[in-house]
Amino acid sequence: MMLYGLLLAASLSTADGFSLSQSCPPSFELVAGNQCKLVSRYDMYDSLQNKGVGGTQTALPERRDGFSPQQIDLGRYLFFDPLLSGNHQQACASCHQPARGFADGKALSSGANGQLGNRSAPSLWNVGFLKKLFWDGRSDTLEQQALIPMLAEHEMANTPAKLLADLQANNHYPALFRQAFNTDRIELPQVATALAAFQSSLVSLNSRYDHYAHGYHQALTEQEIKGMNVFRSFVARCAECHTPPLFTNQQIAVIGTPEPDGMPFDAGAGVKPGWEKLRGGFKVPTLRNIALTAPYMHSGRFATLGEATEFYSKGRGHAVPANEDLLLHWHIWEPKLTAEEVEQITAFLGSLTDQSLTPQTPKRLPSGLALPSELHTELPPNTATSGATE
Amino acid sequence: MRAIFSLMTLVLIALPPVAVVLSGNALATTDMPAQAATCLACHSAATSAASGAPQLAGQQATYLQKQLQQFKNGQRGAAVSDVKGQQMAAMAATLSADDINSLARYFSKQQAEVITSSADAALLDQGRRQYIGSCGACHGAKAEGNMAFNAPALSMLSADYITLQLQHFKTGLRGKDKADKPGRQMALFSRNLSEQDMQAVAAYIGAGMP
Amino acid sequence: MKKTTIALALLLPVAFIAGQYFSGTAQQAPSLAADVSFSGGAAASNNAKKSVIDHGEVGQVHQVKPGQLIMDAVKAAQPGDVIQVFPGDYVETVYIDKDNIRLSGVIIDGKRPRLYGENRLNDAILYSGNNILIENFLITKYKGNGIMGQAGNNFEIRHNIIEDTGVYGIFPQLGINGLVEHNVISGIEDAAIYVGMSDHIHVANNEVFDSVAGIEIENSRHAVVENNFVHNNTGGILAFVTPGLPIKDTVDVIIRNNWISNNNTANFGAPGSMVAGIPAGTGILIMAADEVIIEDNIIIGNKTAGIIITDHQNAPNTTLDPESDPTPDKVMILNNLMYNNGYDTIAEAKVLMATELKQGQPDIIRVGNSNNSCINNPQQYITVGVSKWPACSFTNTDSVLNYLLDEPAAPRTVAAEEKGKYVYLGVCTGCHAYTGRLIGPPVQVIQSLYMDEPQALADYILNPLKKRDDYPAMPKQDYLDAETRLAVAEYMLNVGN
Repeated sequence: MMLYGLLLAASLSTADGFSLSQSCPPSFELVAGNQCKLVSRYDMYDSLQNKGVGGTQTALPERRDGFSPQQIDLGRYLFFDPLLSGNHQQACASCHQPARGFADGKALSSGANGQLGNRSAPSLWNVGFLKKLFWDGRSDTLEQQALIPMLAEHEMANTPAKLLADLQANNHYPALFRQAFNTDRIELPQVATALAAFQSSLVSLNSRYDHYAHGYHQALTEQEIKGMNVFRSFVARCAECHTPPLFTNQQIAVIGTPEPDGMPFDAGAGVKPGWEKLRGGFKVPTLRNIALTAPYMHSGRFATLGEATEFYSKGRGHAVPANEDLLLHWHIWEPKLTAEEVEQITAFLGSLTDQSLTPQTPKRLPSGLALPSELHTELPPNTATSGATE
Repeated sequence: MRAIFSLMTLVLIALPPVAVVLSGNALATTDMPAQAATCLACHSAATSAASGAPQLAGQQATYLQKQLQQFKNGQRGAAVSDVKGQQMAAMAATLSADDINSLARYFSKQQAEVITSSADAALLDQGRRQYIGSCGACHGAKAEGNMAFNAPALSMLSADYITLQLQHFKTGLRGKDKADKPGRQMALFSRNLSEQDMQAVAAYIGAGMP
Repeated sequence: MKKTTIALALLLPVAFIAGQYFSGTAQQAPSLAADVSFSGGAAASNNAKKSVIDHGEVGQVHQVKPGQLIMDAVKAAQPGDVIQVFPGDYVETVYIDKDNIRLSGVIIDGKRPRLYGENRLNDAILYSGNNILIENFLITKYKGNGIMGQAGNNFEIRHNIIEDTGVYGIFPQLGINGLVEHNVISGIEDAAIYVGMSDHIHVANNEVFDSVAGIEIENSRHAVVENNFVHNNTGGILAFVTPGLPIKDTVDVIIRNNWISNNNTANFGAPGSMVAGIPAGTGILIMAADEVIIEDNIIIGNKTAGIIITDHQNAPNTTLDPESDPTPDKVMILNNLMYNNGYDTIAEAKVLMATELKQGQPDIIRVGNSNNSCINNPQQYITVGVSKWPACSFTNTDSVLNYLLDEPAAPRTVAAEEKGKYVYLGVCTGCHAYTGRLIGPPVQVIQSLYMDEPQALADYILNPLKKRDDYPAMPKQDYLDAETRLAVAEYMLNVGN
């Protein structure tokens, strides 16, 4: 499969050096001002008050796009480059691996120095649509978000000074930043912009579910359609928060999932001043490509989609510590899903897989550093375009 | 269009696979049509560099047949500026339909000799990208041609010949006739190519696709 | 239905008497949009039937009889078709993910088709298409909702009877332009009629009873709730903002000419649900909603209060949303007939009354903040928390027939060229770069191969043949309809970069 991933003409990396793509990523249209604008079949529809939540044929929410092809491509190099971490051991992609749905397959992620973090790396698919970032929703923009793990002690453990010095001293990056930003001096906001630009290109909207939504009902199996109907039923109520088309309503919800053994209670969004009533609350995550991103929940407590689904059926607040008085979300109730229904929901969630726009992992990095070893995994074959197997 | 296509399918079925490997480089003389020797005066591996004529050995029969017909009926090689084409048109005028068929079949069964020219590494690199990125989609990964698209083999051709033909396509000397769909397809594509692109990809194929 | 008729007969005279004009003694009285006059004029009939659906040409009629599945007819139906369901029992969940379907029960000798959930099935009817009409059903014993809409615009839900069915009787969500009328709904664990995150809605002439909430207008705008008979629920009519939803406000709701009586049923809402916090005996509850007009209702016998107005801070069970304004502003109480409310009110109300040195049974209770609200003729009610409200600058809403759209919300019509572009960029470019090899051959090559034959390309993508040894096979694009396939083929052959 890797052979087919070679985009030879568009992205030149010649023997002499690196040069940035002048074309937008797939699904993006190059418009005036050298901007890449996302185009999707969902653009055919409207949504109530342009919020981008609804049913099958609903427009998407406002998205971050309009970056230049060069900024997006520079972001791609930066995203995969361990030069961004303090000890040059870890890249953004270390915890957001293309082959693992842009997550890392771990319950809790670990940092460049091996420190274990306290939350699970979220998938980056469709992150360009999100208004709140991090599990606790503490960042409003991709740019703001991008710098935080890079500079966090227990994550990539870098400092602004070191990062900028490393980039400036590199053989290739100053020229690449010049191509992307027309600048002679690399600055932190440019790094953030490039990373945001690249992440905005991680779009997954062409799954079998989407084919169903656009009107081709044969795209889903009987089992998956049953699962979809349980999913959006007012018994399971999944779709009330995991609302199509992104399968998130982008709100903070207090649902009371258990922490892993030995981990203290995570107050989530509730630590933010003014958000105290959201204690124990986390951002509703998208379910797109969810089958690829086990384990689940903010602390990776559940190993499988089945376990994660069963959680909602085990009783309102059953896992809330006795000393916590949480304002649990009103949709957390006692749906008493049958084992069969849990299986149906899980089957439906599998139809949300689409990795057709996975960007190419660079073969060589401008820093000259090796691609972190965890990235030497091949992408599983894309399931987006294959038909339903009944 | 459909009729032509099904006709071609018939021809294809009737023919053994292209590039039948014969012993050594020698052209088999058995069943060699009388006129073949005349052709080889210019079109053999040994003479093609000097004559500027393409090697015919290993080329698809349908392609050869069609080109000969076009030379004969004035669709190719009629323009004053196309000196080599005019020479070929004069030769083709002497051939009957049966001659054309047997010559085409004969050369398609012969094995081409690989002649490689050298070129600048950067030019080759550019040509490689160009070829893999575009040309190979129809002419095949090894420039072996692909009958599904009526795309002829290119691997036995010289850089100069390929460059000249690309220019002909681009300037409208080839691929102008309404009925010549593959020619028109190539003409359309050639308009995407700059002079530099043409040189590069021709050099790459001419160099044996290193 | 008989009860509704009686209620209307009683309500209509009230509407006429109420047409007195009160000149604005108010400094803070809300002024409404200039293009809408509330100051009188001849009262037009509110009962004018209005269709919100432009069905266009009538398609095929599918008849479903007992022993058959409604869902089979839905699967077979094309937009524009009518599905007639004959009397009898149907045990299934009906889901409609297509536009312009009329799902119509046939009533014979007073018998209507019954959707029966056996206390086992989740929802009776789910729809996500636009222009959906659902009428004449009897729905009972489902665990979820009776009728649930997800982002369908221009819906009409009418003449249904829904009994003892799960969480919501009728629940249109995230839709624009919808009519819910002449339904009789009872025995619902949450709201009998729940309009959630929707705009331009008309809820009229329904009877709702024996449920936790009668009618809820939640995170919605431009809704009229009129001529409903709302009785024996825990709470009657609710207009409120639920925090933590993507649509953040409730604005511009008219609650008028409803008969709201004896909503004293003990709260049996699910723990944690919003309605579980409603005190039994609430006639109307306004929570954090703005521009709500309460006019000409008969509100009697609701033991906690006729009308409660609260902000989020003072509501039990309610979280806060930093993006939602928790305050009910511009609440406008015009003339209503209120009698015998608040006779067994909650302790909080008594405390509030004590602070105003008032006694008696409260008709209206306001707790927490409320800005720019007004009330006409307050002396006719026993109130707490509204004594500083000025009079409203108008006396009635007769000039507003309804808030439905004049033209149905059109499913966005997309020019073929645009459609082609969406699919080209949204799907094709994942495998085909304009120049250069990605997964499939470059678009430039395809343009050359198919030149002036878009139909041949459209046919090819439906049923691709592997033609290149060194390229993977192209998957079928059979999920695109014929028109879209041709549109994308034409777009691809003409695209410039």
